[in-house]
Amino acid sequence: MLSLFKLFKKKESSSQIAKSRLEIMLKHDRMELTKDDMLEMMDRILMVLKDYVNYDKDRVQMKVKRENGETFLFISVPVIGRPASRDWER
Amino acid sequence: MGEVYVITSGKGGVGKTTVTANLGVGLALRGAKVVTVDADIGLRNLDVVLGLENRIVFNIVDVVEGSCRLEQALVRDKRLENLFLLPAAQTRTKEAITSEQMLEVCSKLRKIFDYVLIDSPAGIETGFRNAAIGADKAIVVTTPEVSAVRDADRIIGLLEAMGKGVPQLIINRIRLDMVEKGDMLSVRDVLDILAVPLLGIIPDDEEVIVATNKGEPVIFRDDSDASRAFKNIVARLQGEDVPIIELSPRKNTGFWSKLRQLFGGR
Repeated sequence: MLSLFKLFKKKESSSQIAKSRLEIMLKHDRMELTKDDMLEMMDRILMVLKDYVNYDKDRVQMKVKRENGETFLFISVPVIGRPASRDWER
Repeated sequence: MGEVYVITSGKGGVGKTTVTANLGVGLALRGAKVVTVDADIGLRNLDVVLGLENRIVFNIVDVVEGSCRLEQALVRDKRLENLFLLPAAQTRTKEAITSEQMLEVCSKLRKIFDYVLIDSPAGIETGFRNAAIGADKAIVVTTPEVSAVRDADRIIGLLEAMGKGVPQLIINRIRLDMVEKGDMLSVRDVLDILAVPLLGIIPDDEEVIVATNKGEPVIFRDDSDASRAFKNIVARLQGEDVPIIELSPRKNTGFWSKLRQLFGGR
């Protein structure tokens, strides 16, 4: 099934490659953080989150966007539940 | 009081000077009193694109050093009496002018002209900063290439940090055929990435090179795609609502009709 899916999936065009390369490049450029800084920051944020929620760590995404002259950091974390250990607090 | 625009890009060779020359001519053709300023000290080019290289007597460095009056350094265009050039010095370096001096030149020029268009040098150092410091608004020129877009993003950030607000974007040298094939970033792609308002798009047009060869900006012509694109941008600068028709790469409407739509002014 998977290979069938692949068969129908269109080959990525060079402009799509350019766009995704740029998106990754600019994410770093705009924050002026190194890749290591970013990874470390993510790790620390996620460490805090995991005390409160369960999340799908494969689908965690980070985006840096500029709007009206300001830079925003967006982190999207798909929440899939609450950790059992904290249930007693409610 | 006139408006001061800086035309900049970060990366070199994307068409800043061509854009400055054509917008200058375009605004002058509509009756505005315009001065184009070459802020690329040491590597002047705007005079050549405008075809005025043989008329230069004094330059901007002479003005700030007090060797001549501002009016003496202004070169009048040979075709349009309301278009002028303030040339850069060719044998000096960027350090020949300070930001304070540049600010003073800009404030004098805006009293005389409706539009002051400053052609910035490439880069993000002194030359760029001096070019931008006296400007009210910025126009960023890019091409649909990874390196140019990346540098444009950097320059947009710097302009915002300098308090110039959000610049307007011109995407130069678009090749519709390549966009259609998925081999060139589309207008939409570039806008998604840079997130600034679009002032206009200019197709890759051989006539621009022909025009530069002759020292006659392409906007003087009536029969070229680039000329029409520049005229649309000039109209937008003057507050007219000229729509930019979006090129979306994978739609099956006729290529040529789309091109006509795009640059036919409607």
